[in-house]
Amino acid sequence: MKPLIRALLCASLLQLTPLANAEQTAEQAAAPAEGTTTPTPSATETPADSAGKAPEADGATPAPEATAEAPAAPAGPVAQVLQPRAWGHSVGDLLTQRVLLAIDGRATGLPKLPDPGRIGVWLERRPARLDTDADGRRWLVLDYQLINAPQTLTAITVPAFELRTDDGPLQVPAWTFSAAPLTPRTAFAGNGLDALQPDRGAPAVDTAPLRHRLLLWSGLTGALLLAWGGWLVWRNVRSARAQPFAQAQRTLRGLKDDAPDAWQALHRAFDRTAGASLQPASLHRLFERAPHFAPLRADIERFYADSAARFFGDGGAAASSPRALVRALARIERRHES
Amino acid sequence: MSSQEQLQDWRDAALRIENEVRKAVIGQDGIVRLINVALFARGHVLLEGDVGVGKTTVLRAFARAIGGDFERVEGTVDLMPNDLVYHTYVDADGKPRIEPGPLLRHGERLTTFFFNEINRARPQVQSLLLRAMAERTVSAFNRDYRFPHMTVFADRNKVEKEETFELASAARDRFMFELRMETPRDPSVRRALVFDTAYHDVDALIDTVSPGLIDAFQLNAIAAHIQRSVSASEAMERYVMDLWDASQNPAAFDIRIDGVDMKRLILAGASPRGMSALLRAARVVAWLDGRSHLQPDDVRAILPSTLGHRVFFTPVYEMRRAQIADALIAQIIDKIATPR
Repeated sequence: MKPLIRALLCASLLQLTPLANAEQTAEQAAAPAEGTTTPTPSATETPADSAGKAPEADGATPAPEATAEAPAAPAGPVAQVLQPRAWGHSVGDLLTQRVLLAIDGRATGLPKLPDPGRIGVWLERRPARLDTDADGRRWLVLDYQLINAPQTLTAITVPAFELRTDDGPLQVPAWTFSAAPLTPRTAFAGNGLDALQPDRGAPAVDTAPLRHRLLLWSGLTGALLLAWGGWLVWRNVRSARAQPFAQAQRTLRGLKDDAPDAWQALHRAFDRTAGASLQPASLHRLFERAPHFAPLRADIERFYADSAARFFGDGGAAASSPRALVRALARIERRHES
Repeated sequence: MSSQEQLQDWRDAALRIENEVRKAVIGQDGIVRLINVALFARGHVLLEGDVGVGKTTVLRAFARAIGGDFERVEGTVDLMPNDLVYHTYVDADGKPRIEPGPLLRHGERLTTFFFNEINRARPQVQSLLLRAMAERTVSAFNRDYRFPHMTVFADRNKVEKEETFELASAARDRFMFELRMETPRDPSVRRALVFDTAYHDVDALIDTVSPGLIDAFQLNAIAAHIQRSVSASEAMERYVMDLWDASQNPAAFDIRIDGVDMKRLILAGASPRGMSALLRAARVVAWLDGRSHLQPDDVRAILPSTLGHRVFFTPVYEMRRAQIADALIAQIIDKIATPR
């Protein structure tokens, strides 16, 4: 609730300000500030209807007449001031005054530049600077920015102030200009034409074909990715199944441990892994080519010894189980491949 | 003494011979083992190698270790068959005399006959020797001379090719092994051969070998005993038959050699005599290993020395024999799977 109340108060104040300022201007006119050394704390303003006279002086020409209309009678010499355009300003505009630093036609120095800062509710003075023109005359350049938005056409006065030059005080007269709001407060009353109109919706473009194309391409991309992933999986599965010991494991599935085929299938798997027909004397080639089987070296050597006894020797009780061995070998092979 | 014990004693003796020979010849353990195998398989050996690698030394060491008489002949272009059989001269009384030549001189006591540089001898000499090798007999003076205990070692110098008579394929087939004796590669052996003065005096070196470790005249009997005592299983027979087939038609066994058209490579594979020599030698390997049955490794151990010179290539490839034969045997060993 509180922010709302505060906003309402601010709004009413803003509406009242032109009147209040007009009164203030009148007061200032009635009581001339004698011997003021500091600039007036606030700029004066007059709403358009109350301030009937607009300054006639053009910004390009010196306007002693304009200064003559200044409400306060300045004590001491009055500076020659080049004023900017006095009308057609609105919030944010920059107004530049050029003050000739000369007393009675003689150039003078300025030891201290006027301070920048807020001038009343309307204006902000930028840091002042000095400028020398083509004729060698020195000017004080003062930039004022209009920082408040007037609700109606309003006359705003830059207050008079005094410059302390090397050769004594130099009066800069007050100057009045008009400022207008950017938009009228209420353009039309009623008829549904509220001051602030809602945003007009942009015309809807037909996106159906776009959506269809997007769907189509996403579908195709998805299908492609799926196919690629599937192919990868299929290839891995196939190569895993084609590995020597994986193949031997499948062959051995339907065989018993003492079936000669089982032993021979395991021999072929060893041969394929080593790339050569292996016998006990050449077993080292297996471990050179596939060192990951080294942990099973003892089992593999026992298998070869048992196989030699079985196929070439006097038989004897074979201790090895080809099925158990092929399981262990296939496990290592799978781990190594992945 | 039971036959098993007898075989065991002979095996110990065979290993002792090997150890003794190794005292005189270092860095040639493979060659020493194969010569020992040939000795107990009653096969002849063709040694091939560079000049001065110790071919004569190893043979003299063997001759001393096994006992019996040793004879040596140098092959030359003008050597005639008769020079091996008899020797004619005029004696002190001015009478012409004929005496038995180097082959007949020792009679049946001849155990080691070393024919140096056999490829320098004329084919006539070679064929005389081939008969002596195959039948262990020679006809001379109207009768046959027998050398039942003789083992022939021939040596072929592979450096020179001029004024040489290459051995015919039938001649090479009669050698059980063709061994390639190479300069040792092991640096410590090479250093010893050059700097150890013990290896400089060959006669002194041979004297370190214990003489007559076995009764050489019983070798034939014990060799036959060994052959009977070592058996070959069915799987082993299949393996050897595969090897034989592969030597005749390697392409059928997926054997490939770079730059060689396998279908046009083989002129003739191993002969039946070659295969029987292979099996005889393999049985001795098994026996030396203390087994009474053959294993594929027994055959593989001697395959390069037995089969390498028994496979005959078409003329296109014959010039590259050494290189292709090695690759072929290595491929046969790698590709023929067993047991199956």
